[in-house]
Amino acid sequence: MEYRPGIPEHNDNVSHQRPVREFFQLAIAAVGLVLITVWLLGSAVDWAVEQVDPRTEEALLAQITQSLPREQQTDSAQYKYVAALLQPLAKCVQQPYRLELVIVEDEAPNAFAVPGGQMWLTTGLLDSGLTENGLAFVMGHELGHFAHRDHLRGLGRGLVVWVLSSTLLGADSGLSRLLSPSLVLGEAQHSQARESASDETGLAVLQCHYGHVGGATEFFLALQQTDSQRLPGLHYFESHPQLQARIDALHGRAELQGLSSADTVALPW
Amino acid sequence: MPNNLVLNITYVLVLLFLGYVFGRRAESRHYKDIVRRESRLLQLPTINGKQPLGDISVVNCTLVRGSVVISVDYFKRMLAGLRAFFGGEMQAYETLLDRARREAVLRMKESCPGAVQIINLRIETSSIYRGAESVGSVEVLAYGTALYGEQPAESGFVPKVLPTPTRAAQPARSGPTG
Repeated sequence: MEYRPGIPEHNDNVSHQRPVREFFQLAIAAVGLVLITVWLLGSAVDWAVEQVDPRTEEALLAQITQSLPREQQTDSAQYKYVAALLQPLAKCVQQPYRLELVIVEDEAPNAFAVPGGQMWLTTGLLDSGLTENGLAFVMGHELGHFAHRDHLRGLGRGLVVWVLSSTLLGADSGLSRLLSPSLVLGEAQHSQARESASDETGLAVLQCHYGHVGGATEFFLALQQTDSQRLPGLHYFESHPQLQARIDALHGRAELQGLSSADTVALPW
Repeated sequence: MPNNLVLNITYVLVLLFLGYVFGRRAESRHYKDIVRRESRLLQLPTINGKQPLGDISVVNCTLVRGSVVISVDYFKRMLAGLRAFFGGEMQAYETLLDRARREAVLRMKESCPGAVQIINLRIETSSIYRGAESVGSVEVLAYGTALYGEQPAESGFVPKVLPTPTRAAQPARSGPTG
């Protein structure tokens, strides 16, 4: 046997592929898959939310909401005033909960519809210079969330997103960083639609209680003063629609329904 | 949250770009180096059989080995991650393993100047994990038995005397002197 050394002309062990094209093809397919999965599981959550009885929800979530840190002073004049305002507002909306008002110590002006029927208002919101009508709109908006049971949907969908990102993509990998925007995008669009629907409920609550919709855009106008400028296009990933879009939508809605504005009532503090 | 998303995406895209550019450059350079050294070491027969080629009078034999650890770049790691998601041929790692195998064999050959043959060649691969699920880098070990002695001219080939490795990055090895 003769030894004939030589180097092969072609390297058959390496595929001469186009890695960049392969990367983009796979990435686009993965984003599509994530969006479809979020939509399917989100729809399943929506279906499941309809099946949960509000009393069961209260019982299930009582432990969690009670363990959340909060300072509740139900005997203060401010609390009594807001609680008294909530009663007639709640009658304007058909919602299945036994509502409880909670005032949370927090400088950021915000309000939350918490699972189980708790409406959280921050002290920052109460001291932000709103009129009673402006505050009533925010409370009406949260009543809208209770009526649509958005807090449960948000909880369920948040869980879906978290489970998907951590199990499917890996807890903290480059891949999850790359694909997380598609997860957020799928969820943000749904969230923005829920917020817009609750804005409409807030408007209806104002009309129902005061007979006019004065003060409806107060809170958003106040937020606009402190809102930082963002890069264009980013609002698609936000959980809430753009402030100006919400203000315009409220004006449009009021005009469409022929709702008028009148003088607003100042808060006593 | 959107601001974090922009940061995350920018961070990943920059790493992907850098990984692609530098990974490709390193790979291209490495392949050129491999081909150059393979041509130079072509005359040292390296086989996986137990018996030497031809009639050889062995005066010395020794175990020789060459090993290399090569890391995969960020772009390929991400590409492989996506591929692992859908399944299919993991082409992203092909060049990594090919380079590592050839480099290990070259280092083994370079470690025994003066040898006339290497028999019993074996190649082993192991991955060095970065975390539980991702491949960080790959180690390839090539080992065999280097034979030293006289190779009769009529046995089929005449071995050339190999020059001492001159690569700047070549680590010092305790090669046999016989």
